[in-house]
Amino acid sequence: MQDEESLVRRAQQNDQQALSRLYEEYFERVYRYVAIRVGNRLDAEDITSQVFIKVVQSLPSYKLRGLPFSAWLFRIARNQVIDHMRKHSVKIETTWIEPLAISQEDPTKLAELNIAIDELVKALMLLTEAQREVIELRFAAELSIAETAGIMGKSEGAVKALQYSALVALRKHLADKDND
Amino acid sequence: MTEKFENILDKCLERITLKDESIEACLNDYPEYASRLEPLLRMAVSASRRTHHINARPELKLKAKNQMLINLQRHQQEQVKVVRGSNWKWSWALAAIVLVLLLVGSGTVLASSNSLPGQPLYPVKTTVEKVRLKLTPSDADKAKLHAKFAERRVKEMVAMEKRKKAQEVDKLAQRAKQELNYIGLLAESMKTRKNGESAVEKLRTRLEQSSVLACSDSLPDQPFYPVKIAVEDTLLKLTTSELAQAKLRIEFAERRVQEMVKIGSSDKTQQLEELVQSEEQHLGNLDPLAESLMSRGNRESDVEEIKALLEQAAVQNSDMLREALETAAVQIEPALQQALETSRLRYEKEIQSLSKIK
Repeated sequence: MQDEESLVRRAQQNDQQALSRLYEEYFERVYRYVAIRVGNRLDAEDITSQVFIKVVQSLPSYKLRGLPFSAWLFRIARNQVIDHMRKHSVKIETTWIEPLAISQEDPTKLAELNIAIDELVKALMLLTEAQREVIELRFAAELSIAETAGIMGKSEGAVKALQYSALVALRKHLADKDND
Repeated sequence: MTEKFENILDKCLERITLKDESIEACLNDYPEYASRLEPLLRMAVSASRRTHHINARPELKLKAKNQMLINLQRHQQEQVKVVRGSNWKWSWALAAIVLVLLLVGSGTVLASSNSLPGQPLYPVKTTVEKVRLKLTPSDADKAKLHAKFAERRVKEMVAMEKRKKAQEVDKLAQRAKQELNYIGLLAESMKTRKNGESAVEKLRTRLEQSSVLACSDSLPDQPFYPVKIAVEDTLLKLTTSELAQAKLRIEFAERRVQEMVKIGSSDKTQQLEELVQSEEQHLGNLDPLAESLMSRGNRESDVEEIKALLEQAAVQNSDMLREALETAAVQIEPALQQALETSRLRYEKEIQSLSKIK
């Protein structure tokens, strides 16, 4: 990808091409992050669209020398999810995420993946809010420790500690599930 | 002990996710922690794999992109509305003030045109400008007025600089910048209309002959520099052909190098870094411009022309920076050396990239 900073600068000047490139770069990661947070596809689609509309509105006030662009973008995504949950007073659902990447290849594999994702979302719900967020930002959004720390307003050391405790807890909950 | 383990865990995760290394490779490097590390690394890899099977429907991806771009257009239109001025109440109030002033004596309005910030008639001058904008219906005429007002702000800057009023000069620079930004916004809106491109080109010719270009020699630490950059941005927005835009970008990138050379004798490392970024930004735009040219038909000769100009600029700029290095201040020498290398690599990358476009 072309230098991100230059793309962001151009997007700030309403350059459609630059904005489209940033969209292509981040869309799937934002969708994954939102989907794993809300647990259902319809809400995930709705919220992801809103995230990029919010990006257009907020981009003029984004400061290049502040938070990295990726962290800034996922902070918007995080806030959109929180707003959505508040507005609709919804609880996380865990039955509608469909692994479309292989949807036309092998129905058995598709069903297995659906179950695996469903189990992960349910196990994540058993973690503390901070542990859950670290897993979502690190593995669904593919952000670095520094970017995750920037979004969560924590130190890198604190995020590493949370990552450790989250993985221990996640492993326990998924193992319990297997033993049921 | 725990702290150390968390760091090791994270190092292993980075190696596995970013460098595609195996879990085993990591465990071999930390045998004393292997039994604790292995289940957590496998858990992390499993979580990562599961989330990677969550993909959006292609039709959603396209729909969301269209929604975003429609919003961008709306956002632009709103900005133009602000420029056009939708508050008629305010515009009529201003018109009334000016009418009173005209009745009191048109000499007052005339006399105000030469006034400077801080003088009693200066508010009359700026109010008259606002009213003229409100009463001008067409975007093209409004843009011409903004160009005229930008010229006035620059003249006022010169006058205030002579009076050594630095704060006032900075304020006027911001206002000149604002006038130029309005021209760019109005141009974006004009381009979408019938015969809009030729009207925009006329505006560009007007701006190229404008006295605001007197700022072209200023350097980053000088008060006129923000206006210089705003003029460049506006000229780019007023340039409708990709080839002409590419030529301008190459010219502006060269200007950044000339500025680097000029500040090379001082110790302004921070400014040097900003100039390198600005140079890179202009060069980084050449590739998409060339791609856009090719997507609109067989324009290989245009791409070749851009490439030839770029090759020429690469040699000249490199020579200029090398010469500057010989006389550079000791403090800035490493930054200048770095700038030379970054610039050389960026030109090489862009030339290679243009060679691949067919």
